[in-house]
Amino acid sequence: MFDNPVYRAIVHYSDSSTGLIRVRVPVLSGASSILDISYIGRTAYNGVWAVPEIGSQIVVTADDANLTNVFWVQVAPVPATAVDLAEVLVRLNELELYRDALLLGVFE
Amino acid sequence: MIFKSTHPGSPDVSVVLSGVSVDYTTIQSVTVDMHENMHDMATITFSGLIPVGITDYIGVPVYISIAAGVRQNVEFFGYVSFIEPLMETRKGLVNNSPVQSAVATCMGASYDMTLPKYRTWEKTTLPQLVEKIATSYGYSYAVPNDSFVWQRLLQNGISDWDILLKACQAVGYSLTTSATHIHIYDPYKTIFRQLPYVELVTVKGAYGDIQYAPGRIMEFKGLFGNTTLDGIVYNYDFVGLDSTGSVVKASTNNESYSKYGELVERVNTAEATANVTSQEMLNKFAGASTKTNYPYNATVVTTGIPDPVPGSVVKIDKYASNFDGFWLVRGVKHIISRSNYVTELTISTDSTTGKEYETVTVSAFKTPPVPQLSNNQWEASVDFGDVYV
Repeated sequence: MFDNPVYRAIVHYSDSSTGLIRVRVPVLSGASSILDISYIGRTAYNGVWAVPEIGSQIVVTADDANLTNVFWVQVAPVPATAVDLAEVLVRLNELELYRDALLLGVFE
Repeated sequence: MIFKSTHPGSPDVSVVLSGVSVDYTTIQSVTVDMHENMHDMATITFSGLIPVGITDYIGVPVYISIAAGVRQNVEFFGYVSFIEPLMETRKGLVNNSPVQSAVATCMGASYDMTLPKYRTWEKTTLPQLVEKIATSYGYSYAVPNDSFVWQRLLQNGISDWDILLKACQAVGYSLTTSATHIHIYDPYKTIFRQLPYVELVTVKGAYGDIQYAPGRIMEFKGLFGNTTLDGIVYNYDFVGLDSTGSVVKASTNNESYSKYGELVERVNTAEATANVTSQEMLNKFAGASTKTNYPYNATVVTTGIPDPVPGSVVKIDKYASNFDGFWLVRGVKHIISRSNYVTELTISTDSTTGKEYETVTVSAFKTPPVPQLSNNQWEASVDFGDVYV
């Protein structure tokens, strides 16, 4: 039975527009093999995928001994939280514009 | 020829250790052991070996031949893996040597394939995997033309031999590497590969004739039942999840067997799960699940017979029993001394004599090229690959 341990991996390639993440897992497959991270359990928000930076270290796991599916172990952003954050940013921008307008005396 | 007695059935035994000085008259006995899913192995027992050369033998290429009459030769190509000298002072000198006995254990040429490696095999079929590995060692190969694609095979710290074995066993094939030829076969179809076939004769089968003949059964030690040394014999219901997230199922039934005769009943159906990428992969896993456990197993010692190899089929007759009939040869060990030659066969079957065997279509085994020694490594003398249907 495969025990699903986790492994450290180095990000070889990532693309936030396609979601493609490719990693090396030296302890499992040596230095030269490059493995694609599965899309299972990942989703794009507003057309943008959360991907790690190239060269960064991430944690991965798999569901069988051949690493047929390699999963990125991460804290997935909750969509509701992501939307709230975007709204906060929008409001902040509006406030900044309003402040600038006040300073320039637009509302005299 | 190293030794041969005056008996007409005595085999010609030749042993060659390449590049070292050997007093071949000190060889007392030889064994050659071939087994499915294992490397070939041989032992050479010396008596009164010259001590100065003992350690020189380690790693030396070895060739052993056992020829009995006009029948097929047993040939072993390999290397001395290790040597175990035994020096007991109280026994004095033998052949003027203090080494009363020494056993050289030799591993077959495929032992070259045992270095651990790290790599992944992406989107590969079994024939592609075998071809790449075999050609990298200069070996010949024969493999079924199986179009199943592994999405990924991970070789993490295991050897080329082990990854090949892992891939074969997962989809229900057996593997042998005799000399420099990798042979992969479906054990349920091997009867039609036409590997050497022999009939092993019981005392009753010989009609009371106790004259010497090759293949006379001297001992038959059986283990019959659904609990076997390889595990319990079941039918299986498999469940898995494919790459698209769909639940997939596959089962074995009473049609999943060798069809040498009438199936020995499988009493229970076990549930099993597997991580798979497709329905086809689960079908492969399910199909493989019955091919390693057989309800009838036996070890048979016969008068020396060089013909059978792992994958051969032998017929046992005249025990007047349900286990008369065809058996799959899973291992063969030839034991030769200066006074006798016996063969020990490890055999299995899942069929009784209840009905005739069923014909399946599979190509006959083609004779592979002979090995040659190149830079002290065994390799096939010509490129040869047989992807058979």
